[in-house]
Amino acid sequence: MTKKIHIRPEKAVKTALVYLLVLIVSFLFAFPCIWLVLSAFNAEGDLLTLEGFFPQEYSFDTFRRLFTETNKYTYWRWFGNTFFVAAVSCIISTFLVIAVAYTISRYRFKSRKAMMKATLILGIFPNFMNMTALFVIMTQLHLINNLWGLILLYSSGATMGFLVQKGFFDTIPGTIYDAATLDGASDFRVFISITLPLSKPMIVYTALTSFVWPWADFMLPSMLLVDKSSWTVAVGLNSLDDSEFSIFAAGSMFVAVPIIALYVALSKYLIQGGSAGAVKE
Amino acid sequence: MKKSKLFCVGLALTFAALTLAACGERTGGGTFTYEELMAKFEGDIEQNAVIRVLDNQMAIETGHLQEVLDAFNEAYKAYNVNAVDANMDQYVDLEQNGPDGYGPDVLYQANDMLMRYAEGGHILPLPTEQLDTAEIPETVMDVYKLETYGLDLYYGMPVAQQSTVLTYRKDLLPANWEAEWDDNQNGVPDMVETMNGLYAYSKQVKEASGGSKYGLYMSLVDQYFNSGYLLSFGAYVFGDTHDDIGLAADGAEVGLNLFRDLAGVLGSTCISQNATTQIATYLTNAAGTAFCTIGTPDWLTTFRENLTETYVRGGMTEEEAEAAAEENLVVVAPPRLPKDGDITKELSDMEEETFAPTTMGGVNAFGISSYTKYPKASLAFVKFVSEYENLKWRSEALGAVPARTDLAEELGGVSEILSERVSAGLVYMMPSSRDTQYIWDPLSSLFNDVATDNTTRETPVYTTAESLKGALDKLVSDIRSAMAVGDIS
Amino acid sequence: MEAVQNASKKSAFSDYRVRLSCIFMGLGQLFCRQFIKGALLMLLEIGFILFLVFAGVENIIGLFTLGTTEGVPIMGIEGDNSVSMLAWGITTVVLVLLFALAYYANIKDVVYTVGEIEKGNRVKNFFESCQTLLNKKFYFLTLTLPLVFVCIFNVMPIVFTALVAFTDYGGEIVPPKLVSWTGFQSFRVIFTMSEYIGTMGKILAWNVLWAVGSTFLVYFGGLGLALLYNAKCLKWKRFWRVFPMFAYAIPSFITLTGFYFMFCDSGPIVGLLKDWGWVKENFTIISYDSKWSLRLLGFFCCAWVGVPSVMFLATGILSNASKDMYEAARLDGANAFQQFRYLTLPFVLFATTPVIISTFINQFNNFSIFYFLRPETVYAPGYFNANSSDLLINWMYNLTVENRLYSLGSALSLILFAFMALFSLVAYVTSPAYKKEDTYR
Repeated sequence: MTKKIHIRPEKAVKTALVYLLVLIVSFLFAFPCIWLVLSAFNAEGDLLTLEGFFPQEYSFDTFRRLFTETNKYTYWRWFGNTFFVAAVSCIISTFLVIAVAYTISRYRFKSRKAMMKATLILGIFPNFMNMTALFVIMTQLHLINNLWGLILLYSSGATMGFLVQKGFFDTIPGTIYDAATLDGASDFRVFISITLPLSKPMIVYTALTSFVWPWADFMLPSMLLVDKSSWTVAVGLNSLDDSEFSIFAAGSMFVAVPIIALYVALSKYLIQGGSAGAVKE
Repeated sequence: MKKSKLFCVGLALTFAALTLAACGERTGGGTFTYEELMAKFEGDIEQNAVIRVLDNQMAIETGHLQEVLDAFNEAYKAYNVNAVDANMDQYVDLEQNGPDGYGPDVLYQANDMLMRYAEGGHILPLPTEQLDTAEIPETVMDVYKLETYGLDLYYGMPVAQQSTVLTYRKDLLPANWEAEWDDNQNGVPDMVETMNGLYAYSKQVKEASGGSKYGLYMSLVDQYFNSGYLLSFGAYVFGDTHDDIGLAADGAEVGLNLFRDLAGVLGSTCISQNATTQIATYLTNAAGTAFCTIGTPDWLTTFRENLTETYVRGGMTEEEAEAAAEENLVVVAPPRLPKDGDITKELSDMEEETFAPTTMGGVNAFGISSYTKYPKASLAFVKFVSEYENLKWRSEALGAVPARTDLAEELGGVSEILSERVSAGLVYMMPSSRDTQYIWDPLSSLFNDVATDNTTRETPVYTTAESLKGALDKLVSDIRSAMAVGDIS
Repeated sequence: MEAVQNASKKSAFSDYRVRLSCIFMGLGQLFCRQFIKGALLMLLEIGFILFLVFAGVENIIGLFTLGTTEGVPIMGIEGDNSVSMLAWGITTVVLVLLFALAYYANIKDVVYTVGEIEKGNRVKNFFESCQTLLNKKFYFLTLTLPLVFVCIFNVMPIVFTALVAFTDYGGEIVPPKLVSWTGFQSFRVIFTMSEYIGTMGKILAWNVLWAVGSTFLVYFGGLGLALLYNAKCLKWKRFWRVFPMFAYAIPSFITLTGFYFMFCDSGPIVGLLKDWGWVKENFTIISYDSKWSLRLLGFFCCAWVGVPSVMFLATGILSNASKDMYEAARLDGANAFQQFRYLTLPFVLFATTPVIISTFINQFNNFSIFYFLRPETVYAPGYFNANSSDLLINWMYNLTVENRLYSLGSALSLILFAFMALFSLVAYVTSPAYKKEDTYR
């Protein structure tokens, strides 16, 4: 007890230092976001009308323009497309990724190691590096201007990232399976009734990440969606002129806020899921 | 064992492949007569045709395109034709999307784009005898001419001309301009008449406002508007052959130096392609950030709308504001340039010391995609939009300068100014060739480089005529490399 | 397995049923009284033969010739489309290979069945075989669909790109013009044309520097933050962690465009710095020939975007670290720094080797940073179709998408791919996490 009194001033300095650092970091992360949000309410709508960092006059005019000037911005259409692509890809990807990861983790078969290595190699070759090829293939499959084309691409792309989930399944001790198999349960049953309940954090993590990728992606849609009615928010917002910075900021808010909310609400899973997979990838 | 076997099979296959590839006799398309080429336009319009029309952003945003489409569909109701907005990006690549059926049927583009497609066979030659081209000057029509199968064919129906003009705010002129800024007493303010006047005025405005206001505001890296300075002093794009690139011709460095001086007074905020997107705001905001700009004539429509809005916000009624905006936005020919290229000096005799500049120009036209399923309906649409009344409608709605001389005369104003410049040979039509695409990026880089040199660069390098000449030589060699690579690939 | 091998060594191919299956898929199975399976297999072969006759052979020939008749679109004459022929040719080759695999499996299956019969075991009927699929070969069931997807959308484009590198596709040669095979021409152009080789050298050097620098920054930044937020004296940890969560959650196209606006010439940062008189009038961060200012900004934005994800990862890992270990160290008199140096760092480093590798790869190919931070296509002096801040992948984008030089872009991506594949394979295979994979079971 007496010892503690001794350390106190030192500890207080340390605490102060930690808080100072945390405040600086928080400011660094929060400021650009706040700036973007405030810019969305800029009455003049132009970057150059800012006074220092902040608008001179605030109004909801940007939002009114974004939603009513449908000759220029079909925002809800973009938003609907984005949501559709993200939601469907999320469902398909989650299903595929979990199935693949579980299989690779649980079974030993001949081409297993080869498959893991191949995945690794393919993984360093992101899809849009083959943009020309992808465009040609998608035209042959009649998937240009088609949201399903994007969904298929995201799903197959997400599947390539199964190593994280595999790492998680590796941590489930094999004995659990052995017991169940002895009881005569089929592998499919084992997967449904034992593995899935155990891996809830991992599934949430997978679903979240595979939702966010299509939600936030710009490159693939900008390449594959020629027709404006099939555009996603990212493509639409990036087609705006520089002078429409406020519109951009306003449009971004509706994309960013749901994701932030999701992340904050599910941060526990995010932290658990990501690290569980990473440790023993 | 297994691997070596696989290897052998692979090797055998490769050889087989090489033999096969060698066997593949290739046949070209043959040759066709004019009648054969135009046969697809003969006869009645297809029933129930759906044609996708690609127009520019402005036509879409102002709602003009939709009105035209509705009018067309109404006029051709008997055939149940449905013309729709192609709903694609303005610069969608027909070469990439057309063959697979994702491109538009009818497209409105500038001549360098359309003729690039024409060379690749992606757009159709038009039956000019069916189109009303009598009033279109030959120089303009020639832009769309391409020799195909030994025939002179036209690939586009010219609708609008583009070149550079100067637009200024009359209400922002200094109150005493008649005394201070009209040396030759001809009633035209010097700052919009000569580049020397504009330079001096821009400098004064900038210094007086501490850099927050501009005399002239425009993008310094816009290849299209700024190439005029080179062209005015003797440069040209292609000579007789495309090996002859004349952008570094003798005298061009004088023009480039003039541009460099101009950049110095405009400042770093103008060094960006995106500066173009700020122009409308600057020229029309309540603060009057910019006094004038140099650009295409169709911007005027946007300027007027914006200025009207500004005035309304300032307390005028809608009608007053509209009238005031029309009154205060004045379009004139681009300012005269000094013969010796020195815009920093004061002129003593304007007539003697300056000349009317040459500017880059282009012709926008409607073309028909080769991949359309409905050539007759597409042609009907092109005919429809090129009728006199409809051209007038377009010009009035979008501020486009018509290609037809009779219409330009009737409309007056910008149209007349530009039309006169075309007939005087002061508009250099950008070459209608595939190779033109290779000049834009290097040109933009050159203007970037030289403009940066006189604004933000620590130690300027283009201070002598030789160094400027070197920059131009580099420009030409860059273009040449780009063309060479394009040929190899 | 052993039984099969023994059987095959002695008499596998002497059995008439095996021979029948070698001649025609499924025949042997029929004679083993596996009627449904046999019929299905025979149908498969018939289908395959039909496919070959009606399309397959033509596709494969097309792959070699890349078309023989040029189309005349202005006459509505559809010629051969070299590019789609290339795509279908590849597909057909893959299908042929898959069929060969199926054929092999068919022979193996009949050898196995015959062996079972000879041993006097009962032959499995179709229903039982399906049962096996659900059970012993569960992996077959779950992996098929993803494999097909990955083949079409991930492998196929790579093969296509690889082949395009050996053609003259691009520039003026695009459909309806016919593309032809040109061997190593594109590589020759890249390595011999002075514009290319010079540009590639400069870009590659910067790219490596960027990848190393940004990986270091993101990784240790994330680790540092995780330790900071883990500090015992910090209250409301969950609240503080919300801020980096912003950066994590906001789509990067928004963040980066936002940063562009913030740092561009007409943006607030440059404006304020000038107003305060801290910089010269001609100060600029993002301009036509800005090199290091933009590169540094790139590092900053990259850290802003990337640090949080590593931070959350490290937070999770740190929470797994055993408390006893630290307790013991503290009793031994180790100070905070020593604890970090000898306990935390090695533990985290070990656990996150794969993360470092994947971060490095992602940073090496980080397309979006400089795509959004320099939104205009301007080419710096001394660079061909690129600017000083561009990474290889940005250059490739300029070549293929902006300038439609497809074969050159493809050749470049092959070079890039070879480089990266070698690096990551070596790094991965030598990483402790890979070697010890099975020790955790």
